[in-house]
Amino acid sequence: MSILIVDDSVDIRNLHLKLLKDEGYTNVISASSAREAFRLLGMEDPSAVDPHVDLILMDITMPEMDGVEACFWIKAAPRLRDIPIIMVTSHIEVRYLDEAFAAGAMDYINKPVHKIELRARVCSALALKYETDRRKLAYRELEEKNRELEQASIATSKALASVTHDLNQPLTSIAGYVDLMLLHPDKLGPLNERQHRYLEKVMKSSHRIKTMVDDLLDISGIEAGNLELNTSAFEVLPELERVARSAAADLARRSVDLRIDVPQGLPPVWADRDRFNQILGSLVDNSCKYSPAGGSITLAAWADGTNIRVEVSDTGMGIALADQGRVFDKFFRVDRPEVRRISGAGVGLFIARHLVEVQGGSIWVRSQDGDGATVGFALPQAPFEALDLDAQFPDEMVAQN
Amino acid sequence: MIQYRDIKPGQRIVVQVDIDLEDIVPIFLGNRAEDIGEVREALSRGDFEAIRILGHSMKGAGGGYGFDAITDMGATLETAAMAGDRREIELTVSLLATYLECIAVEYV
Repeated sequence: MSILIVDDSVDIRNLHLKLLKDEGYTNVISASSAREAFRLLGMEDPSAVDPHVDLILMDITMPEMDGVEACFWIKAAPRLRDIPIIMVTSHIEVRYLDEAFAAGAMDYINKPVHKIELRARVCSALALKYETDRRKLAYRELEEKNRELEQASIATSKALASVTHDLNQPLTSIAGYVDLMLLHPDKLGPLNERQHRYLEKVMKSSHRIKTMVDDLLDISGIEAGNLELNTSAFEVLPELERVARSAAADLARRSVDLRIDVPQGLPPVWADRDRFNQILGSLVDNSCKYSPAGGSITLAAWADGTNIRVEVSDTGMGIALADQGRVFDKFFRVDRPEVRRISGAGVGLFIARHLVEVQGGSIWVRSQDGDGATVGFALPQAPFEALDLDAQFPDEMVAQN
Repeated sequence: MIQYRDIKPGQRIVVQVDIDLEDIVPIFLGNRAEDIGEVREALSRGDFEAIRILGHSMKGAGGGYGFDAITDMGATLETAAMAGDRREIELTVSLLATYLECIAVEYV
């Protein structure tokens, strides 16, 4: 470890050099002024060789520039700011310590310097410097690793986005032609019963893949931070009804009952309508998947003054408390045999959470294991100025006019 | 402790100094001998600022080497220079010269 002594008195420099060398510090250099110290530290010439100083002992009263100011300038240089500075003060100069510490000094030692005190303070300052250097190095290594990981993650996301994008087009083509064959036998000729059954299987599978591809596209959009939102004010009830209608076939197949519970006069929500339906659809789909035959699902919505809150409750197996904090994580699936049987990638709630949060809302889960689950979200209530008053209160408007 | 103002020529003043400093004490004392000439020269020029700096430096270094009397003389020189007190400066410098002649350093 190397030490720099800055003192205008040659006798003090000699004394401190001697005391430090006696303590085994062989790499000690000295400067007779702040300027000379700056030169030794390479502050005047950025291309100068770094002297690798680990500690500075700084006199306070010096001609031209005093130690406090010198300390300030050294601490202002990013390359040097971690070098601890010990101010060497006479009893009169103690009054400058406030300024010295404000300038970045870490310690002080009184003149005349006692060799044991000097040893103790130098030793503790160097220990601190050693620790700072070690942490700085570790931090730099972590930063480097982090950068590598980030780059790897960006590359993966890009690959994912491009693959899913490429999958989308042939998939649309498959689904489109299958739909055409199933729905328009008049144009393409009749299908026999077996052909019809097989094509239905193809259609179902292609729809499932389409859903997964859409989810993956959403995830890559979320991770790239480029989800486009088209925010407007709209009524919640028609959307709940729309989502309920889309789920009707699945619900009927599982004999699950669905109820909608919305108070009259619920204010409109301020959100992206398609994304709202996507969130809600995802929650209903989950509830439906995990509901036993004969179970029931409730869609409830209400206003809390600032937000519109929507909750989807079911009578399914519920979510254990330990898992509740993780259900919104990417690819998280509850590790239970009855869950493993049900298909899913564990991305629905992850996407829902991002879609809610990106619109300034929040999402939550409430459940007692074995006794159903409630997943809810809150999105801002539409601001007054966004409301289409003509459409909402046509009679009043006419009356006022 | 010896009051430097009481020193008489020919007196023997024993100063005990840490043996670790044996190599550098002669340099320190040599520098003080040079200070005598420098102060006198500065005084002839009327350069009180140079004397003040010299005094300050003596004050700071003396104690570290174990010569408290030199610290005291340095302090006196510093104050006298700020006050422009020629007499006090001359007196202190001659006392410093006497002191340097009288001391016998004992390394312990």
